Parts: sequence; structure tokens; C-alpha cells
Amino acid sequence: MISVPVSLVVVVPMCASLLIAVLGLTKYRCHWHISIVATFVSFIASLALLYNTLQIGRISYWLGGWEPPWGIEYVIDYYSGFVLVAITLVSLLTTVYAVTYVKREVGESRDLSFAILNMLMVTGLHGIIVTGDLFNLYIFLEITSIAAYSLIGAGKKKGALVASFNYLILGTIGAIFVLIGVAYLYMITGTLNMADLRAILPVHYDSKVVFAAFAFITVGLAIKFALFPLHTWLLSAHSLAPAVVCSVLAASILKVTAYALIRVMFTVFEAGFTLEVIPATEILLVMSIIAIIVGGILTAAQTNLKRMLACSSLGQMGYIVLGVAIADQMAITGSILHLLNHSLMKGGLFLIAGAIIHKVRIYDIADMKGVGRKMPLTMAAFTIIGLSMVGVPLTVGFVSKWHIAVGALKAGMWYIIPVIVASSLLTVFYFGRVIRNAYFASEGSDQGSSSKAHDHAHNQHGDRNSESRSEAPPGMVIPILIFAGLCIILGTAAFIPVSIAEKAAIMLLEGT
Amino acid sequence: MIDGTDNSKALLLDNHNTCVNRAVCDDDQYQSGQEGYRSEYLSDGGISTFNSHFDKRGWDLPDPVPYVNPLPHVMILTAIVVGVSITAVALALVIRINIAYGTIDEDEIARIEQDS
Repeated sequence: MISVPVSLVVVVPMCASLLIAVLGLTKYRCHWHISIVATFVSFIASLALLYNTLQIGRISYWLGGWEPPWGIEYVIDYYSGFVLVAITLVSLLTTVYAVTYVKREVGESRDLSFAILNMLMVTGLHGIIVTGDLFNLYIFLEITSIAAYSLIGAGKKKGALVASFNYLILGTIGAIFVLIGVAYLYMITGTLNMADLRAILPVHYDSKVVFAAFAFITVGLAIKFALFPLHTWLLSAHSLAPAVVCSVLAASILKVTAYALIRVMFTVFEAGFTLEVIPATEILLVMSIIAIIVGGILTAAQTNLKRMLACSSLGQMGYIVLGVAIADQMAITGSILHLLNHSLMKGGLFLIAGAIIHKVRIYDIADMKGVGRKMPLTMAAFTIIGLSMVGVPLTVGFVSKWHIAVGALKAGMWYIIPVIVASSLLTVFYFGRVIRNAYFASEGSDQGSSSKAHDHAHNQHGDRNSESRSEAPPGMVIPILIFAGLCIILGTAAFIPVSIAEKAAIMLLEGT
Repeated sequence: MIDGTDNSKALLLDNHNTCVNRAVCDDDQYQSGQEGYRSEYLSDGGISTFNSHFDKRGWDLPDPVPYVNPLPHVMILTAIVVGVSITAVALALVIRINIAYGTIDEDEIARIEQDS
């Protein structure tokens, strides 16, 4: 038992953003040092909190010492503890990457404001996970989103501004839906605390107000995490923003909003309500299957690397919702695992895309010929994560897909299996295309025939080797390698995340 | 006033001539100790006498005193602040779009994007 206040993960990044802003007025600039320290402290604190939760169970932190139904409560249980570790890790790694990336790609002039907004976004992300209060959740959702809208517009591309504006309009509609849902719940119960709502709500389960509240919150959050028919903002926002922002958008913001939806479905409402009283899971099941299939086909049609990665989030978010919609304990375990796993995979992939664009200015998959030889470490990481996206055993992607598939069989939904297989085949196709271009396609017709001999010559002459190799700076490569390494480590030593996710799934379903 | 419940609702006027919106439920699932005063979030945020929390916990409290539940006001105020910030960001984006494209006409921006 390590004594760590839960508020640390929110307060530290928030104070860091203010500190950066104040210090920015002086000539002494140390914004990235502060950012890294703040995210590192959050990460260590989240590990300690997860450890504590595994020892003693649910941790409740009273903000300002006010007792929960009146004051705001921060909660760490198996579910939030697990997701918190994943998100704080992504925050730390993307911030480390941003130090090098932002100076070179976004511009020196926007360096400082980027660091401030990044810290605000991190504050919101961590806040959504730990809060036990519905209105507080809305506030953190908006803190995250406002910072994200600004960060998307920070890119050099003109299109990013329009993408950001579209995201802003749709994101705000989603947020207002969440707010209306929260308002309805407050109207009927007079409380905003999640645990308190859970206790009071059952007597109102036949009320239309509660149905409307549930529908509003579900649709609002579904817009935010781009469930299939509500995904239109995602493609341009996730592909035109600076790579490090794309990484946070896909790895953290989508995950955290999906986390919030599962929280509302199983903690605010009881599992019995979500699964039996209203057919929410049946609707979500259909939506998620369409998301997986259509997402896969759309992704296969993309020619731009970042756009392809953005598009594949669609199907992957479908997987998370699918696990929840199956509502078997094993499938929900798979969903919770996929929150972590997809964070690691997509976070890493966008950072890789950023490194490739930074070093060789390649945007299209068709132009990627020879990148495997120029950037061996980066492309090795890409290959590992690509295999993980497909779901090859010993990678994290396999663990979550396996759990969702077995859960589907246990629930008697055999028709899920072909969907998972088809989507995996599509993933093989679109990641295979990139890997084939990067490693095996010839750079030009004249060199093509002798590519093997060319390779051999490279090995013999170290000087020529160093000439053609142009890896991104270490500040960018190290976070990428950590992401790729974790895909293997957590896929091989899968019992660690699985055991925690299992506890979380049991807690969500049985409410203990 | 948004209300979709089947439960009957009585609008009571107390001595202080303040409007108290009280949810009285005839549902048999609903225990008598749990009936509470609703705070209106979207409509009036008006004066109420007691928060449902006090009734729910069965606390022995002195005679109800009319007071304005501050929570809906705080929440609406916060939502307004959020709305203002979003508007600020949106307008800033529109200005940047205008600088980048020389227009804020959506069709024209789409045409410029297609040409490039």
C-alpha cells in the first residue's frame, strides 16, 4: 500500500500547464522539461494507484474533503486503474516524442502553446478516467476536446483547420448530448455522483426520462469516439493533424470516451438495465459489426498512410464496442484489454508515420519503396505493430481478439467469428501492402533487379550503409520502440493485463 | 419543462408562496421515505425546500426552509463557460481558415482542396 492521492494524476498536469504558461512569459523556457516531469509523475502515480487497488479494492478520494454525494469523488477501481495506467503511459510517451517533433515539424513559434495545450489535454484525459461524478466527466471531456481542437489546427497543412472546425462542431454536438443526458439524470434523482446514481436509479428504470438520458449519453459519447455512422469527422481530423496529436487523438481520446461509455453503461446504470430493460447492446452489436466491416473496407481503399491509420481506428473502436455488446464476461474482458492494446498499437503507428514523414517526406503508401532500408528500426516497429493489429499470436492484438471471439462463442453468437476473421484478413491486406512496399518493392526499375546484391553490398561497406540510413532522432525513435516492445511484452506476458481486465469485467457485470 | 414520467406530479404552493415542484410517486416500488423535491435543471432552477438527499437519508432536520438549490445554477454557469470557450476556439479557427484560404465559403474551400 503506497499512499498516493488520486487527484495527483489530474492536478499535476493541470498545474504544469499553468506553470508553463507563467514561465513562458519569462525568457527562461523549460516547458518540455516540466511536461515530461508532469506526465512521468502521473504515470508513476497511476502505477501506484493500480497496485493499491489490487491490494485493497476500490479507492475513493473526496475532493476538498467533501463527502461523495455532495462533493466530487475520484474513484480508482480495477477498471479505471487499468485504463489510467494505459492512458498515462501514452501521455508520457507522446510527450517525450513531442519534444523533438514539435520543434521540427510544427515550428519553434508554436512550441510553447503546444506544450500548454498538450498538458491541458492530458489533464482532461486523466480526469475523465478518475472522476466518479457525471458532471465532472462532462467538464473533463470538454477540457480535452477544446485542447484537441486547437492542437489539430496547429499543423502546417491548411486542411487541418477545416478538419478541426468540423470536429469542433460535431464534438460539441456530442458534448451537448452528454450534458442533456446528465441533466435528465440529475432532474430525476437530484444527484450527480455515479455510485449514488446507481443506488437511486433502479426505482426509475421504467421512466422515459431515464431512457432518454441513457440514449443521449450513449449517442453523445459515440460521436466522440466515432462509432460507425457518426465517424465523419474522424478521417480528416485524425489524418491532417500533426502526427503526435493524431497519436493522442487515436490512442487516448477515442479510448477515454469509449471508457466513459462503458462506465455509464455498467456503473451508473446496472448491467441488468443496459442488457435487459432496453435493447442498447443489440443496437450497439449491429453498429459495431458494421463499423468493423465497413471500417476495414474503407481502410483498404486509402492511399495515404496517415489516412489509412486514421481509418483503421474505425474498425478497432468497433471491436471495443463489440465486446461490450456481446456482454459476456470474457468479451468485456476483451474490450477492456483492447482499450489498452489499441492505445499501444495506434499510438505507436501514428508516431511511426510522423517519423517517416519527418525523415523522408513520404505521405502515400505507394511511395514507401525502400523505407525499410532507410529506416530499419522504425519499420521494424511498424511491422511488429502491424502484425499485432492483424492479431498474430504473441502480440497484444491477438489477446484481445481472442477474448472477444471466445466471449462471442460463449454467448452463442457464432456469426461474430466470420466478422472477426474477415476484418483480420482485411487488416492483413492493408498492413501487408505497406510492409511489402517498404521492404520488398524496388526503388526504381534499374535497381530492382539487383536489390539483393545491393543489400549485400550495404552489409559489406559500412560507410555506404550509414549514408543511406536516415533514422529519425532518438527522441522520436525511443517512444516508437517502447510502443512496439510493449506490444510484444504484453502480448507474451498476457496474464498480467488479462488478470486485471478480468477483475474489471467481473466488477462491471456484477457491480461489486 | 421536460418530463416523461408516468408518475403523477403535484405542484405545491407553500406558505412562503414559493413554487415547490415535488415528485410524488404512486409507484409501489417507490418507498415513501424516498420521495424528494426535484431541482429543476433545465426549466426554472427555482426555489425548493429540500434536496432529495436529505429526505433519502432520513435525517432529522428542522422545519424546511425555502432556499435556492445552487447546483443547477453552478452547472448551467459552467456549461455557459464551456460554450463560450468553444465559441472562442471556433471563431479563432474561422479566422485562421479565412487567412489560409482567403474565403470562409464551404463550397469554395472544397473546390480549393480538390484543385490542390
